[in-house]
Amino acid sequence: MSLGNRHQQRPLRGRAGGLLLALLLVAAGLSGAAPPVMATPSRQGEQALKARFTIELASFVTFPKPKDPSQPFIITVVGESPFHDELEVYAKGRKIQDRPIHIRYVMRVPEGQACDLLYICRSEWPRAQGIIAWSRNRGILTVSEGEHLAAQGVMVSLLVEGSSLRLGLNQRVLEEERFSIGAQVLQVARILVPSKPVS
Amino acid sequence: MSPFPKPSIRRRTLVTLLGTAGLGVLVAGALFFGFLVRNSRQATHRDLGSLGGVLAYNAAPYVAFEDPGHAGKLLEGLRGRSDITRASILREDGSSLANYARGASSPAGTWPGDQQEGVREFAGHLVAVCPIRSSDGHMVGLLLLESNQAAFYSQVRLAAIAMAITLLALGGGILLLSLRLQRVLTGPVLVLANLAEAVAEKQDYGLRAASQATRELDILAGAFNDMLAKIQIQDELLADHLEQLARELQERKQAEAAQGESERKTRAIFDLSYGFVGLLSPQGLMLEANRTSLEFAGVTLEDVKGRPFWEGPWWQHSIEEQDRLRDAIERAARGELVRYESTHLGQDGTVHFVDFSLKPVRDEEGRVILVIPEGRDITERKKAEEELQLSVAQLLQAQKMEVVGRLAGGVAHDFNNMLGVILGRADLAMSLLEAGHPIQASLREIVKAAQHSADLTRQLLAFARKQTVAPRVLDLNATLEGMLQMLRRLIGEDIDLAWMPGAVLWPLRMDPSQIDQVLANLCVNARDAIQGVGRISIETRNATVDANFCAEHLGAVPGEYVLLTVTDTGCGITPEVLGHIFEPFFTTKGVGQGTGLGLSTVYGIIQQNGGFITVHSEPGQGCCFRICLPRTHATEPASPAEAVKAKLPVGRGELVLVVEDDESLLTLTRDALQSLQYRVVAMGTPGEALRLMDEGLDEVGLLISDVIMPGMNGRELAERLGQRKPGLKCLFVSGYSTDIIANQGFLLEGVAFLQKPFSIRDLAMKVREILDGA
Repeated sequence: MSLGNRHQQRPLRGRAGGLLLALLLVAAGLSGAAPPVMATPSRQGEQALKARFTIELASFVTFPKPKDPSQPFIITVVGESPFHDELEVYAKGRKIQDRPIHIRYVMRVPEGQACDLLYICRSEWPRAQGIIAWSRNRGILTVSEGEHLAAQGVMVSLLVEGSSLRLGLNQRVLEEERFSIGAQVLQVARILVPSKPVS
Repeated sequence: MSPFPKPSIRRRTLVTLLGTAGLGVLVAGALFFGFLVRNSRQATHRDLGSLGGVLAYNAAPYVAFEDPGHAGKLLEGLRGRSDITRASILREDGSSLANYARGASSPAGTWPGDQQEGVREFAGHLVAVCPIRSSDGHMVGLLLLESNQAAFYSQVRLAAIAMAITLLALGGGILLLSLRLQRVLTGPVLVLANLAEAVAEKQDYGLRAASQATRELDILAGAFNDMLAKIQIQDELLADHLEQLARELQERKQAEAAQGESERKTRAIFDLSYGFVGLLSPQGLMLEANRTSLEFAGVTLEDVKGRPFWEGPWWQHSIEEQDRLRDAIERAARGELVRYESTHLGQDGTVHFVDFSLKPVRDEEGRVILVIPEGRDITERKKAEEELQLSVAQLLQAQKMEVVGRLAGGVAHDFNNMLGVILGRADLAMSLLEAGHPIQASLREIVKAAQHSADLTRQLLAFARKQTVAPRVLDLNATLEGMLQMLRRLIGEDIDLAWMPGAVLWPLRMDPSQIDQVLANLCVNARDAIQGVGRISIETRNATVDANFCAEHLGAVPGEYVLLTVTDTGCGITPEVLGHIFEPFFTTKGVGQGTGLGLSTVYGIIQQNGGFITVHSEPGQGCCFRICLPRTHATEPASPAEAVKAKLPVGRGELVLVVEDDESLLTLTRDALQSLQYRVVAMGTPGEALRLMDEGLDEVGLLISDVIMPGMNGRELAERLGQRKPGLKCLFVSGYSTDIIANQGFLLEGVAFLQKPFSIRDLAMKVREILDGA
């Protein structure tokens, strides 16, 4: 599989890349400094990066309970989704843990429904405590924007640091929920809540 | 022979061993080197691929989560690999996340357009393209890794050096091994070779090879010694055989020399034979021809060899001869001996008669393998045979003529005696009778018939050359001119007589009366051959006859002649008749029209005078008689003209002695003489005449004697009487000429002769002439 081919298969991704490049050039002009390795994403580019990080993150995490491969890997976006098509575009044709990805957009906690990854949108921050509590012990990987939900127990935070997007991890919750993340991922992520010290 | 010395077995062994082993080592080395290079290349590929894979695996989160810093650090870890010249980590969209370059290499250099996963050569470098995948296998980027293959090349160099060292070591080992092996193999062989050389040089087959250290070579030495022993035996045998062979060779040379001598002799006989000899294949192709036959045709053997015999130069004059020869060869090829009389064409264009034969030669199985043509030139023999045939014919003709002449002469003798009696008695009777007596007429008829008979007898005698003649020198033209008038009367008015005398003819010596006889007979013969109007030509000229003419004409003798030609325009004579025309009593005329004595008379007269006659005639073309009369060189006064017949001369009482064995004729002669007033003593035999003379009868003035008489001929009688009375005159009477008084019919000198039958006038004239001493 070539990268070119992939461009053709994912025109939205190409178009997003082009926009990202334009934003990077604007940012470079405003700062008057040399362009960073990755330019500050625009709103749209940021969302695309977040969508990509969300999907890729799932693939680098080992879930505590193996699920039936015949069941789809369900990503649930709760609240007002910042994504437009980006998440679908990235998820199209991909599998996580050998399971096809299925994305749901909900406004409340999906009681009674299966969920593997729960993306808590900014609009649900006020209700984040309850949502996080609901997801406990269910084997659901919780993801949110910003770092202030990490303290409330969100496992992974998508942090905008300058011109780049970075992962923020709540190692304590992850360990408590028995999720494991590869060492390489740990290298690129910032530990927001370290592991519980060994007594 | 090659200009280069032959290589030694030692060198060959060394070269072969070195070549074989060296080639083997080189091939093995090349294969091993190739194997090493291949493995090294594969290892390099694997190594680069593995390195790329590891890096790609590790780079996966950096790509996935956009961490160029860690990605760059990851690539910086390649510093420890000197062969990695550059590397790049690309995002999924192909943009570069991190790059690495070693030394002067540009990190943004061109990567291969074909970014299929794998390791491949690109621009002299090895490039690994490794996909970067997330945990679920999804490709999120690419890792590109470029190597200058320094390790590979280093390995190759090392391998090459190791290989070279190995090859050199192996080569040295092989060389040493080859030298050793060569020494082991060729040493004993050289010993044997030196021994063989010594044997060959000294011819000493007693030399032997020493025992060898190795079993095989010891066997070889043993075999060599055995061979030498056998050769020694064979050499002795060979020497004996050579000696025997030399003897046989000498004998063979002698035999060959003898055979060569024999062949030369045979060849000489073959070539120098007077006959024509050759060799033919059964198909008739010329194989050999002797020199005589080749020189006869004026050709060489190469001209005729291999060609059909019948196409040879000997037969070019006659297609019939060629066809006959071809048939003859076919018969000879079937085994038949063929012989016939042939003709050959000589190189001078003359055709020769050849007694020709073809003899088949058979092989042991009886097949005809050769045909021998043989010919003998019989031209001369044929000519001689023809001449002999001609001579025999001439001889037979001459003998026939002689026999006929003798017969005619014998008959004429007695016949003339009787005619003499008849004529004499008739004359006497008429003289006793008065004129006008009735019996006178009868007596004249008797005389006439007797004279005609006498003419016939004379002709017979003329043919038989028994006619007694008195030749004299004469000019033929003058003699013939005197006869022309008589001849014209003889041939009649319808026939023209052409007289063409030659100028200045040579003189002849001949009785003119015989010329009369010849011309008269020829003209009468010509007249009878001309039916109605015609022409007879008489021509004279001088002619010289040579041997060639004589060879072709019966009875001709070379010399100078006066030629008398009588030609007519008559009916001619057929060839069958032509051979008989001179025979007496041969006639083509009807009964009573001819006696058959005319031409025989002519023939006899010409023969008697030493001449010859030829005749040429063809039916319807007339006839031509050519008479050659010999020229005479004698000169004789012209004979006086004959006295004019006058009154019978009578005697003056002279005593005449008459001797005649024919009583009738004796009586007649006595009576006739007495009537002429002579005294006569008549005797029947010579003996009585001699006795009478012995008794003293001296008065006898003339002896008249027959020539042929029993006991003594007339001439002998005359001689004996002449001894008793010298000067006694003699007159001989005879029916034909004999050698007693004449030579070939010509009277001897001083001999008086009277031809029987004679008339009383003839007797009176002759007796008076003798007694008067004329």
